[in-house]
Amino acid sequence: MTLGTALLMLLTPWHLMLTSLGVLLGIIVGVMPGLNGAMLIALTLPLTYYMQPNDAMNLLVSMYTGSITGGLITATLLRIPGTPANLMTIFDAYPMAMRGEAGRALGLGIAASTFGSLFAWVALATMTRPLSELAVRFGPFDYFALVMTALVLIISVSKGSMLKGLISASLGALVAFPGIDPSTGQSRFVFGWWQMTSGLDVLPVLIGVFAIGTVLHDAMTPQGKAERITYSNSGLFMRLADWRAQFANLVRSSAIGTWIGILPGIGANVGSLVSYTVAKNVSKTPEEFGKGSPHGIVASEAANNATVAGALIPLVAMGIPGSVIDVFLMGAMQIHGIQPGPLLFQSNAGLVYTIIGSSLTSTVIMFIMMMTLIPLLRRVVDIPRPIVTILVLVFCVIGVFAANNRWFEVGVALAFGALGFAMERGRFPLGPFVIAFILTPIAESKLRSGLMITDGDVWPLFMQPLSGGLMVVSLLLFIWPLLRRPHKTGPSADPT
Amino acid sequence: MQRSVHRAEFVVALVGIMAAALFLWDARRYAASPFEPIGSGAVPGGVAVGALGLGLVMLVQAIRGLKATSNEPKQFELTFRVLAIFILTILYVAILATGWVRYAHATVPYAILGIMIIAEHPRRLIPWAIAIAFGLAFGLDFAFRHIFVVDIP
Repeated sequence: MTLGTALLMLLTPWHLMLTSLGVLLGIIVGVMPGLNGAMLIALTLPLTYYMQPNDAMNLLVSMYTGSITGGLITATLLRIPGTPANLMTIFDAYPMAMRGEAGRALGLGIAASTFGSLFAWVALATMTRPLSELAVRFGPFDYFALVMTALVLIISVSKGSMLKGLISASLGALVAFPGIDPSTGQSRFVFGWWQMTSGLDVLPVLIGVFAIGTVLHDAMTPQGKAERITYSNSGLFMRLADWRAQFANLVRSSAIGTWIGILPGIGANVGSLVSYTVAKNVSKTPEEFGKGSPHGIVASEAANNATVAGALIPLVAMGIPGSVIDVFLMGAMQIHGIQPGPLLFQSNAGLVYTIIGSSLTSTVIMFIMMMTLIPLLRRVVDIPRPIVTILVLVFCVIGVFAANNRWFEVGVALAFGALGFAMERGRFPLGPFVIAFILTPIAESKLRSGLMITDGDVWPLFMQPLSGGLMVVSLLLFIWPLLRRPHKTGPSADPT
Repeated sequence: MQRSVHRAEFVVALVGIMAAALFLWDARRYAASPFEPIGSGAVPGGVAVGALGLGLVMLVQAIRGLKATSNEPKQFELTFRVLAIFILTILYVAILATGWVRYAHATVPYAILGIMIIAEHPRRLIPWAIAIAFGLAFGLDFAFRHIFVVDIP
């Protein structure tokens, strides 16, 4: 299969229906504060057991695209970020809407989101194959160092203190160890539970931490009432003058978003923050930022959408998730017995091109849906939260059970739900947990393969150019936040 | 920072310490073999040592935070709600696991009770709760059994 044939396949009625469904559900969870794309994809994972891998990835990638964009609506009309990735959008979209230009604010956001997605898609379509060909030449130590860099990167940019990020990552890593040791075939860390002989399944752990934990935490957060804005469609289509004025900003913000997406482990939130800051710094009118500046909306939305396709690049090319949501996509592939990584182009080219193609078709459908469904979508936020909570909990229980018909896994999901809730409540970032859970087995097996090759000598890890360079980068990434915030120790260090 | 945040920090730190201690204790059983330099327990043991140290630091910070803060108003009620819904979910799963009650029949009371527990104004949501409960119970039952052809209780 080539990219062309994949695109033709994705234009068949069945795939268009899957794409539309995925984008619509993604936009709806994006609109609803407290829900996010990761949770939606986690809840959908059990259903993908019964789907063809291509169909499953088409649906999940579409959800991913929709979920990042949906939050724009509530950010603009209600001053509520549907997802954390839309936080920066609020600063300018809401004031612009307050001035009576809600349609224009949404139009700028939708156009920027679409441009950012298309820009990053070009990078995804052109860079993935060369990168995977390069990654095939990586040795075990190179791979180990790459995974370490990804882990350190996600910890260093996580919200909250670095200590919490490290604890989150170490808990995720510990949870990944039980089961059969891939290097020796020995059963380990099962603590007498025969159900754990093959390890803890990806699905109950991810659903527990991300869906049950998050929804319980959300149920505990008091719901404030937002100020509503009168909306009209006026200005929804971006004017030619705006295109001209914003073109440089669009390109720069999309490039930043794509690059941040490519960096392993970090996603849309950081992308929009960095892009917004850069746009403000290079602007001739920085004082207008935060008061309804079109530059701010464009910078934030172009970048957060560009991270989606950008983050798919390391996932497809190297098997390293570019963002937390990519961990779930990786989990979906593993459910079907497919290991993402440099060999994916040889072993499953069709799936790779389906992912790349879905990124494009879902962007187009996202644009159409956002332009036509805004009046309906903004009402989604009125659904009472208790109903959403129960809906998610029932779906978690039955979804995890349906995957393997094992109540043990439902128990695991509930236990990890409790842990996820405590972590959310204690402001521990969940990203390092899930990324460490997925990447630790890869890191361990590569380290041990490398040590077998070198007969136990660890020195080549630091002396080979690529692995050594990456280890230095990891070390710098680890030390940098500590040097930047040397005074932040003790309980007062964590942002409240 | 709120007291409930420090309480959660304390719980997570404790879980981390206990898990790390358990892994560290079990890791001693997996010795290296001649063809494999470090053995099955080395990496998990190393991670467990790290987690143990980090957990202890977090525990100290959480205790210091707990001492420095007092209870916030309304926190007890919110915590009670979440605890109640979590216990209700455990009961729901336990009842389903016995196999005595079908999924649809267990879901109707669970959904209605759950919505009533979480809602700030439960009376207003009664019609919604009943509609959602029946839809969720019989709708998902139909979807799983007849569309996805999956065995559910």
